[in-house]
Amino acid sequence: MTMAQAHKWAPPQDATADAWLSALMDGELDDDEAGRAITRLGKDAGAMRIWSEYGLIGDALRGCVQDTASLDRRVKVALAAEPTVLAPLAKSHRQPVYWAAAAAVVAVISWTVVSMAPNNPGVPVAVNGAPNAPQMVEDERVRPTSAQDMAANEVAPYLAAHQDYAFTVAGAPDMNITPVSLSGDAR
Amino acid sequence: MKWLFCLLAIMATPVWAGSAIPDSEAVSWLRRMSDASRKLPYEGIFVMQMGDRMQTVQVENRPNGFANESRLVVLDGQPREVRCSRTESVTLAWGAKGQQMERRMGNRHFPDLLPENVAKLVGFYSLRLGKTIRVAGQDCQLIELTPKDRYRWGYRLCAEQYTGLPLKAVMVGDHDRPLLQYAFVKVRQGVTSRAAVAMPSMPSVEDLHPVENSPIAVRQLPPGYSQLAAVKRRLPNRDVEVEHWIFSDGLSHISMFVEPAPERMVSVKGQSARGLMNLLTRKLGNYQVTVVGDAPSPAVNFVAGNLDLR
Amino acid sequence: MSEQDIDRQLVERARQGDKRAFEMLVEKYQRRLLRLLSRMVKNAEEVEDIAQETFIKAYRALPNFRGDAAFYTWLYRIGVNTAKNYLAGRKKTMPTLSDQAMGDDDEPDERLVVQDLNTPETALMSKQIALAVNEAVDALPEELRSAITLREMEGLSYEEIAESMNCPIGTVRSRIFRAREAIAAKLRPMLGTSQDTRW
Repeated sequence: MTMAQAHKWAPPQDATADAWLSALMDGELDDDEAGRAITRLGKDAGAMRIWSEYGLIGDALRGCVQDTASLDRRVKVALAAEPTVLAPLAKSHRQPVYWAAAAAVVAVISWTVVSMAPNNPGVPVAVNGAPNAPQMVEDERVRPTSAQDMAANEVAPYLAAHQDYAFTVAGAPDMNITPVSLSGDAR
Repeated sequence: MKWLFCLLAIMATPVWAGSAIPDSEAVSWLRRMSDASRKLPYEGIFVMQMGDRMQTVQVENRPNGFANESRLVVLDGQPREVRCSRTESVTLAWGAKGQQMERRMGNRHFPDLLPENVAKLVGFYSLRLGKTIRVAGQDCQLIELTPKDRYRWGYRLCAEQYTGLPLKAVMVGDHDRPLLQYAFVKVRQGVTSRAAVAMPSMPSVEDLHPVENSPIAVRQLPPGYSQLAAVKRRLPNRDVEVEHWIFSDGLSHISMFVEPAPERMVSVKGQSARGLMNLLTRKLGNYQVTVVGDAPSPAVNFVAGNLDLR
Repeated sequence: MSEQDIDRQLVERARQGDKRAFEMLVEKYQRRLLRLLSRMVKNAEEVEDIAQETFIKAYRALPNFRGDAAFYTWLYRIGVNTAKNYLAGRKKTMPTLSDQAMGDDDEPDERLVVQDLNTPETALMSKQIALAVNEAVDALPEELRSAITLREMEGLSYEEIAESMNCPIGTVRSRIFRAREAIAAKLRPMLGTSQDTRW
């Protein structure tokens, strides 16, 4: 650098207000300022361009210059398609995606109420195994509609949980829900 | 339209008695199919049909060392994607409420329906080789698995003749009625797109841990069934924590849920329209036990009837 | 505050759904990541694939980033593992550098300049840009040159630079900003000419 060149150089107009971006890059803003700066940067395309210029300058000084147009574009596109990050699972009562499938299966299930009383002269439900297995009989005294109402709500979570394991590709979520009568005729 | 007619024709494949084959040959067929579904890279589109409902799914499988990773994209209805790795699967959904992601317990899907230990199946299913049929434009060998007892449903599988990859699978119930069907509409074996299946990273699920000191003991399981898992978990959409046990014979799955019984507990039995799924709840001591499975009711009843209080 | 803190801030924002914040991190580290990966994989197209995958994996793994390590170190590990998996999955082996290049040390070697990634056109452009930046720095008055050099090449904080140059922190901040602006002013005409490339 010649003396002539050194004298020619003149500092840019004082723009310390704009130095926020430079300070942000170096991590020299406190948390609040930095938060505001990042927000501002996210909305200002011009500032983003300067952010990338400053980044380029630093990398160039460290000997690292690359053509990033293609990568930049691809990452932006891929990022846009990503689900927005991620609260931890299910302490909430949020319905899982596979819930819909279970609900749909519930709708086409016919229910019968079974009582466990061995003395009840109902229809035996076959249970195989050890001779001590309890006799399960269908209780014809229970009114069907109440069983259906109760069953639909109570059973769906079990179906959903079962399908969580057994069916990775869940059944169609937009199944029509149709009430089914309770007797064996519905089949 | 022609495509659709072909598809419907395939779905309506009649039962074929076929010829029984020696056990060793059966096992090697099953092993080929099981291996192909995991170790072969492939991509394609298949249709799943359950009752009156059909669903179209795009699938790609990428073997990765000892395991494989796969991605399924549901092409109808609400946009949904399932990504499976060796240890887990994650469902991503895009809906009215925005994007949702959740982990599932299972990570297997058509065509990977056969267990790794196929030898065990021969004890409970008899195998027959049927004729060659075309599925998705490719010649396949039809293989029937007929249950030897009434604790499981049967299967008809069509395996691509060179690689053994199952291109079609039909779960059959009583009187050979199809309960659930999968069939590739198109499939390319040996290639996948370049992009690896990137598994989303999710925070570890705090509400899923192994069952210890259960109040219930399983005295017996139906023949051929063994326990795959037992976890404590929260049921979807409910605040209660339950034990979730999973039993399987390699093809059919039965779940059992154990939780404290409510004050007024009513036992319920149920069956889905075509009988694919069966359910039974009962009380045992102070506990409610719910058994549900894609298995015939004798199997579900067997599980429910062979439990002891510890 | 330090560079680690700004990254932490950006990570926090990204975790709350601010994808722009993540894009800022991408912008900041993409060149370094590309250079790192190109030491492991020779094919430029594949390096870009792996880089993209690395960033997306990092985005998805944000909930697991504990902030006890530098973001770039964490990103670097993801990149190395992704590249390793990629290489392991390939049928034919590509020539790679020896294993010592594959991530046993935490701090990547910043001094290597990699030419492989660029096409002949962009390689020339890279060289020109690097040259222009260095010339611009040389043309700065000494106090601006010292400040920017200590910051970018030695990685000192403003406080450390203030101590080293025996001036207030505010002055350091101003000098670094003015240095960057002066260099950028010389660079902008070069960057503006080609619409298709971004550096």
